[in-house]
Amino acid sequence: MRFYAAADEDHKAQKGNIYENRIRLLMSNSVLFYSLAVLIISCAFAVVFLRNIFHAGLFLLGAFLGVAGIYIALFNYFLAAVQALVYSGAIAVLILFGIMLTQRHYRKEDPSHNAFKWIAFVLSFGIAGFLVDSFRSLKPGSIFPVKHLLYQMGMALMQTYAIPFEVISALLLVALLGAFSLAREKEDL
Amino acid sequence: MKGSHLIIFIPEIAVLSLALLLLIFDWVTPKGKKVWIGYFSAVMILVFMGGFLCLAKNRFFPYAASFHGFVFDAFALYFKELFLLVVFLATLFSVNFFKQDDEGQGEYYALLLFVTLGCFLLVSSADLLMLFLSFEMMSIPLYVMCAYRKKDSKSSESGLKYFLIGAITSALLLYGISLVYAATGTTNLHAFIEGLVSANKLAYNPILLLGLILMLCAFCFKIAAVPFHMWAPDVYEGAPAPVVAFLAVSPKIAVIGLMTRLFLAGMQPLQPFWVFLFAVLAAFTMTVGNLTALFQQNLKRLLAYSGIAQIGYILVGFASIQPFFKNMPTLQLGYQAILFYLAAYLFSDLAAFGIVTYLSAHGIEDVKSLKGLAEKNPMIAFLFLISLLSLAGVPPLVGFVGKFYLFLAAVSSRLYWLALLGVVNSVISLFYYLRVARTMYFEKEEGVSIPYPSFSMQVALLVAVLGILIIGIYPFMITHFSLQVLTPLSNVPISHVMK
Amino acid sequence: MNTTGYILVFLAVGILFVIGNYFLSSLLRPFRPNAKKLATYECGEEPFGTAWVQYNVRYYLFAVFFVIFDVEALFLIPWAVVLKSLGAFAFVEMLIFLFLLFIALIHVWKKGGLKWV
Repeated sequence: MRFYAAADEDHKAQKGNIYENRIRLLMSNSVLFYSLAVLIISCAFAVVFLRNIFHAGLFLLGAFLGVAGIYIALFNYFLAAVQALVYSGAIAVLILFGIMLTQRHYRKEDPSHNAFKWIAFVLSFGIAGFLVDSFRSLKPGSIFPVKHLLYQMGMALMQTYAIPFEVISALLLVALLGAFSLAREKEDL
Repeated sequence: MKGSHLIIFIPEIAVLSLALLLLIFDWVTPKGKKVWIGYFSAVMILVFMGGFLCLAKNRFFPYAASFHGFVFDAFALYFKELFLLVVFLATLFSVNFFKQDDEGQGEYYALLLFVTLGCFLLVSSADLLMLFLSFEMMSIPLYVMCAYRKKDSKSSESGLKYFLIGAITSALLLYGISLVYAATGTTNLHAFIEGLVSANKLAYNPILLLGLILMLCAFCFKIAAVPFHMWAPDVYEGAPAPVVAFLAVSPKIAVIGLMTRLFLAGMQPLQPFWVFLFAVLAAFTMTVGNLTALFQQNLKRLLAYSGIAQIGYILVGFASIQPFFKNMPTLQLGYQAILFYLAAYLFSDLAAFGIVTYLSAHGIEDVKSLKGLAEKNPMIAFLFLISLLSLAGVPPLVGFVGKFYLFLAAVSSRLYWLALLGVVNSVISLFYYLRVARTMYFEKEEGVSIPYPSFSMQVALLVAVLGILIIGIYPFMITHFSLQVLTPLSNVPISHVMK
Repeated sequence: MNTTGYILVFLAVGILFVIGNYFLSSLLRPFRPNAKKLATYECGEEPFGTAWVQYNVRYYLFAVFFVIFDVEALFLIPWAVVLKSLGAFAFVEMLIFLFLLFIALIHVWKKGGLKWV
C-alpha cells in the first residue's frame, strides 16, 4: 500500500482546501497528460513513417513507456508497472527479436509503398477528427485517485471477471503451445 | 458462486479437459501410434455430443442462465452441438492426412479442441471482455495450424497471411470495444442492451455507432464478407486441407452466432440502421463471391469463393429481420433461416472439404486434374457431386431448403430485390459447381484408379453426406429445434440470472 | 505539491540532468579523435561483422516463454492482495489458472522445447 501513501495524503489535504487542491491537481495532471500525449503521438508517427523497421520498433518502445506514464497520471500505479514490465520490457523486446530473426530484410530500407496511402490518410484523420468532436460530448470521469485501487482490481478480477480470468490462462496455454510448435525446428508434417 | 452453478460451464469444462487430456496422452504415446490420439478425441467428442443433448433434455437444467458475462441457453447449446460436429469431422479428416510417425499430431488435435473452446465461449459471451478473449482463443491456434507444414512455403505464407489479417481484425475489434465502452460505460452486454432499450437516445450516440461499426468490420473479416474477404482464397490455398475444412466452418459459425446474439436479439433500437447495412453487405458478398468463383481453377480457391457466397446468403437472413415484437421471435423467419442455413452450410461445406482433403492427399488440387474421376473412383465423384449440388441449392438437398427459408424471409420483409438477387446468384453458382461435375463425369482421362479413402475418412464423409440428405428431406428436425432455441432470446435480459 | 507534481518534477530534473551533463562535458572535454579511440572496444575483442546479425530462433522461443510467464506472474499480484478476503474461492481460481500453464510448461519440456542444443 506504500504506493497509495502520497495519493492518500492528497485526500487529507483536500479536506483543508478542496478547491485549491483540485485546481492544482488538475493543472499538474494535465501538464503531465499533454506532455505524455505528445510523446506517445510523436513516437507513434515515427513507428508508422520510419522506413527502417528496427528503428520503428524502438520508437514503439517509447510509445509503450508513454502509455505507462498515462497510467501514472490516472493514479493506477499497478497498471503502469504492468505496462512497463510487459509491454516495454517483454513485448517490445520480442518485437525487436522478431525483426532480428528475419533474414537480412532489415538491412535494406523498406522499399514497399502503399497504393492506398492517401485513402488511409484521409480515413484515419477523418475518424480521429470525428472522435475528437464526439468525445467532447462525453462526461469526464473523476480524475481523483480511487482508494485501494489494487484491492478493487483484484476483487473484480476474482469475482466479476472470474471466467475471463480462467480464459486468460487457457489463452496463455494456447499461445505457448502455438509459439512452440511454430518455432520448433524439427520437421513434423 | 456455488458449486451447483458449475453446471452451466459443463460444455466448456468438458472440451478443455479433453484438450488437456490429449496433451498428456501425447507425452506417453510412442511415436507412430499418435493416430490413436485422434481416434480417442473423435470418440470423446461423440460422447460429448450425446451428453450435451441429454443435458438439454434435463428438466432440472436451467433453461437460460448467466454468470457474469457468460450466458448459457438453448441458443448457445445449439451452436455448441454444431461446433462439436465440425471438430468431430475435422478430426476424422486429419487422422490419416498426417504421416504415421508425425510427432506434432497430439498437439494438433488439442489445438483443434482449443479453437472449439474459443467458439463455445464466443457464442456464450455476454461481456465485451469475454467476447474479445474468446475471439482470440478461436483465432490463435488457427494461425499455427495454417502454417503446420513447415517445409511447404505456401503453408507458411497462408499462416502468415491469416495471422496478419487476424491481427488487424483483433485491433479493429478492440478499438470498437473501447469506443463502445467509452459511450456506454459498461462491458456487460445485458446492461448495455437494457440501456439501449430504455434510453433510445443512446442508440444515436456517434461514438457508440462508430464502435459498433468497427466491431462489425472485425466480424466481417472473420466471416470473410465482401469487402473483407480478400484473405480467404490465399489462406485456404496454402493451408493443409483438413485445417481449411475446419477453418472455413467453425469460426464462421461462431461469429454468425455471436452476431445473431448481439445484433438481432440485442440491438433492436438500432434496427433500421443495420438492416440496410446488412442488405448491402449481403448483396455484395453473394455477387462478388459467385462471380469470382466462376474463374477459379484451384479446388480450394473455388470453395473459398463459394464459402464467401454462402456467407452472403446468410447475411440475407440478417437483413430480413423485421422490427421486434415482444416475445414473438417465432414470427421471425430471418432468425430461423440463419440457424437452419448454418447447419446446411456445415454439412455441405464439410462434405466438400472432406473430399478435397482426400483428393489433395493424392495430389489432386485443381479442377483440371479431376478429369475422369467418375471412372477412377465413382463413389468419391458421386459424394462430391452431392455436396456441390447442396452448396448450389438443388432441391432434395439441405442447401435448397436453407436457401428457400432465407429467400422466403427476405420476401416476407419486402426485400424483393435481395431475394431476386439471391436466386440469380444461386443460378450463377450452378455454373461453376456443374463445371466441376462435368470435369469429373464427362472428361475422360486414362490413369490409375485412386485408392478408396481410409476408414476414418469414410465415416466422416458418410456422416456429412447423410446429413445433407436426411436434413434435406426432413428439414423439420432442425427447424423444430431452432424454434425452441430462439424462445429465450426474446426474453432479454436473461430470465434467470445467477449471482 | 501532489503526486503528479512530484512525478513531473522528477521527470524534468531527470531529463535536464542528462542533457545538462552532456552539455557541460562537451564544454570541458578536449576533442582529439583517433582510430584507437573510435574503435568499439578500446581494449578487448576486435568486433567483426555487423551488430545486426540473424538471431537463432531459440532466442525468440525463450522470449515468448518469458512474456507468457511474466503475464502469469503479474496476475498473481492483484490475486495476492484479495486472497485474504476471498479465501478458498480465490485460491481455487488461482490453482486452476496455474494448473493450465503448468500443463503447457510440462508439454514444452517433454517435447524438448527447453533444451538449448
